[in-house]
Amino acid sequence: MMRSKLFSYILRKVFRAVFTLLLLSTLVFFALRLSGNPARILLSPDAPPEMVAAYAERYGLNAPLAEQYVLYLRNLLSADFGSSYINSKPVAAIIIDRLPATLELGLSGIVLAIFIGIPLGLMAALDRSGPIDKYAMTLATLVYSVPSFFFGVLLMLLFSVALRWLPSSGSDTWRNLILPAMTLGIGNAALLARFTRSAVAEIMQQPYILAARARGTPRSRIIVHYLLPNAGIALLTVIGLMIGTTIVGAIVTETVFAWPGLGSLFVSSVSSRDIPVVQAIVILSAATMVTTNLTVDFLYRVADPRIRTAQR
Amino acid sequence: MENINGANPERNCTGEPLLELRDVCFSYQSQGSRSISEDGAAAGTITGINLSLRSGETLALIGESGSGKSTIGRLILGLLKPERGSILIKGEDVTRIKRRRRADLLQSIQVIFQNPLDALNPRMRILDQIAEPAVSLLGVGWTAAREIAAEAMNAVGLPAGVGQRYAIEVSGGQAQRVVIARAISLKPALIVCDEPVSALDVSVQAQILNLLRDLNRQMGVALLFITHDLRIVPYVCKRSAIMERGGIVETGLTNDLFSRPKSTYAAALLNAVPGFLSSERNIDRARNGYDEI
Ligand SMILES: Nc1ncnc2c1ncn2[C@@H]1O[C@H](COP(=O)(O)OP(=O)(O)OP(=O)(O)O)[C@@H](O)[C@H]1O
Ligand SMILES: [Mg+2]
Repeated sequence: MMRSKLFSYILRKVFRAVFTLLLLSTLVFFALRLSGNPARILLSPDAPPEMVAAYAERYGLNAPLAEQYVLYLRNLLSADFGSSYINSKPVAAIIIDRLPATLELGLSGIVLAIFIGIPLGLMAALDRSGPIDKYAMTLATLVYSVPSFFFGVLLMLLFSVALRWLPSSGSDTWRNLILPAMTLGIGNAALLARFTRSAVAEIMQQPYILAARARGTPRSRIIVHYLLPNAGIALLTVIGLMIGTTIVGAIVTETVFAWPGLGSLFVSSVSSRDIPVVQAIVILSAATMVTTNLTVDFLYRVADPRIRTAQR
Repeated sequence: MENINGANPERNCTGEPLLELRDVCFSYQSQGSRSISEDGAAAGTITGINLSLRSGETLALIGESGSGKSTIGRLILGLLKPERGSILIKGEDVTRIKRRRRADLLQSIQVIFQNPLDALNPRMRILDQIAEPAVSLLGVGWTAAREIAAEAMNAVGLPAGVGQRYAIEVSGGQAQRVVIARAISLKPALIVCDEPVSALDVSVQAQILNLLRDLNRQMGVALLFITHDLRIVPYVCKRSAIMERGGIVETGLTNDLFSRPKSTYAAALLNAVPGFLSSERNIDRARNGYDEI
């Protein structure tokens, strides 16, 4: 009984996720082809017509759009993203080559955000209108409203140019990771701090916390037994969102620090109109988002007895 | 912690007060939110509160919505700090003593809130919630604490199976029993009950009131019973205090107060309850059989 309910729930969610991805892939396909024949854009304006024709022939650009679309979908289903217009390498290989760098950067940023943002938000909420709440939260609001490339440039100017402590680009050693990870992490830390603060502040007003405080329960125990389990579920959503947007979030940071991941690949592919690569990165980042959403949804159900029982 | 074993609460109603409020003043405005308009200045302010409660005694705090009943409850529980005056627990002024000692004293006061579901941690099993105070406050291990919890569950008439559930999986009446079990697990001297039955179904209200009254009679735990439902007051509380706009206007034995209110406010309050005339007959009826209401 319960099992079949859960099963149909999962099925429904997965179906919706697949549908979202299909819709997005379609959108990407047509949007990228709106700007005209890629062959003409890729080659120099004075390229001979035979060359353009040969190019179009080679990449299947002569077939009717509908036919191209069907082929595109069929290839997607077999995880075939085609090959680059620029260097003819398989797109999958190019992406797999760049993925580890983005994962490394993205995860470092998220870990940084978690270790800075959550404690900060917690302290602010536990000491409302105390010094941390006043200054750190104002700072967080400020940080959050400033674009991340601004921090990137600021950090670079300070630590690479002025102090000469850290390299400003590349990815040869772990020292290269510090500045981009901080750039990526600070914005997320600010977001997480503000979110933690409001979630915790709300929970602190719940009668079960008031009752625990009234009977003199030590603060540490209130945090561990009452606060974190209840706030955690809300924080999970934000962290899931952060993981889901890793690739998109890395675009600016990777470009500023010349970090050889998917973000900088995306930027260079867009400027060289390497449609298959752009397409693949967009679909991959959408898939990441959809998958993390799905995972968070499931974790919610597993972790929260309220939802577990309340679900029809 | 003092152990009050007397079966007869009257016998315990002697000696030094368990709880005493002396000229307590408090205002939410001075706690932060300063943007208060001229006419709103009185709201959220408590002035010159004097109250005393002896071991095993039952006192009702009555008054219309917003008169400051819950605020007094929170002050007693140490969730708010009075601006003036003192709050004495077992003769010691808790507003002026070291934190540790205050925590010790506050342990003898437990609380029951209006909405039992909000008062339970949604992410902890019922048995563990009842056991948790013993672990964190008495320093008992979890196994022993769960035994204490099982005992408390038994005392409030909860089936043992409920212990493995989460708050969402119990009824409102059961949840309030869980809250009561958690409150009595530390053998408190006083329970502050802030509208303990107003969120419950009428049929369940009587059960919970009976339970509270039995706990008072059998364990000798004193009750500060905050309510705006006058009909239940004579049934649970021997004494009553009536609040109006942040101050206490009248105190006395519930019997006397209900049949011959001295202040016009109290009289108006009593007359405002439909079907509840302040006559001896009604009070007797309420005392002897709540079920009729
Ligand atoms: N956290 C708060 N901040 C500011 N004002 C508050 C706060 N809590 C209560 N008040 C105000 O203090 C006054 C007394 O509130 P309190 O909750 O003590 O009333 P009450 O007698 O318990 O009412 P009810 O019967 O509705 O529970 C009200 O005017 C209320 O608006
Ligand atoms: Mg109230």
